[in-house]
Amino acid sequence: MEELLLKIKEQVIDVLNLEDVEPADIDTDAPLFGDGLGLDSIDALELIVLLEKQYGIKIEDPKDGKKIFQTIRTIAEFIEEKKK
Amino acid sequence: MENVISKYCIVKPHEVIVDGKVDFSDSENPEYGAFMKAIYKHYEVKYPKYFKMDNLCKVAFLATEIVLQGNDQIKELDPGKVGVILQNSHSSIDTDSKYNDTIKDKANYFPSPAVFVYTLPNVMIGEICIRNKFQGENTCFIAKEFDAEFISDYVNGLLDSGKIDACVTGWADYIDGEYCAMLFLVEKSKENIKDNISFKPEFINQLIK
Repeated sequence: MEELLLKIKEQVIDVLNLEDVEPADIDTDAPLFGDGLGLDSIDALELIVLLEKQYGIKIEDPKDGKKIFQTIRTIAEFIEEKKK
Repeated sequence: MENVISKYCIVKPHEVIVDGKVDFSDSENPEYGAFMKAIYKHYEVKYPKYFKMDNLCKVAFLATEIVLQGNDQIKELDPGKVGVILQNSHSSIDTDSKYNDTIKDKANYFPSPAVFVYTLPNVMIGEICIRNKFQGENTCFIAKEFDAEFISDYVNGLLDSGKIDACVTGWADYIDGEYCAMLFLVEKSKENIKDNISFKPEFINQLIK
């Protein structure tokens, strides 16, 4: 799980162009939207593309993203769940 | 009453010129992205969304930041009366091509929303307006080269008709690592301000020579 969490953080930094942010700066359990990393709706769409491109997971209903992209941990748990 | 250039900024490879003087230069960062980042840091811009912008937006945004830096009066104007009128020759073709790269291979078809949102030249104006809360008239004209006569006619018309009280205007273009932004803050002449340059083609062309 730790390896996956780190990998997701690196991918999020890369696809969302989070300048001067290191994986260690991202709290695994902090909200990604709102106060956390200050991500916006376009970032949410980009995260949907990330899951599909990197993990082959397609989110059919973008509304599900709200729950899945709550934190880095919820993304990792969703990926693990889909792998089963 | 005539309209005047209260400040102007030219961003071109290696240097930033403000009101006719080289204000910043950096030959150590010849690559576009590195030079833009050097400008961002030098002028102490604090706006994380900058890093998500495409190449065209970055140069237009930074030139605007420099033109408006330290200008508290612009914040006191009615936001609906501050316009942004720009011109360029390559529209958003740089990002259009990048977006096309994300969709041209049907076997590797991942359209990028973050790239897609920059596939219009007007988006650079949107970024400037969002940052500064401007809500006045705005548009981006495409022309082969900067047309001072056209731009001055258009902007002076807006100012003279009372549609706007101030305008960020000029040229911002990017294609294949070649770029240039020449932005002017144009306002109605004020009695207590002297030595400002009239926003007329003959004077504009002298400034950008």
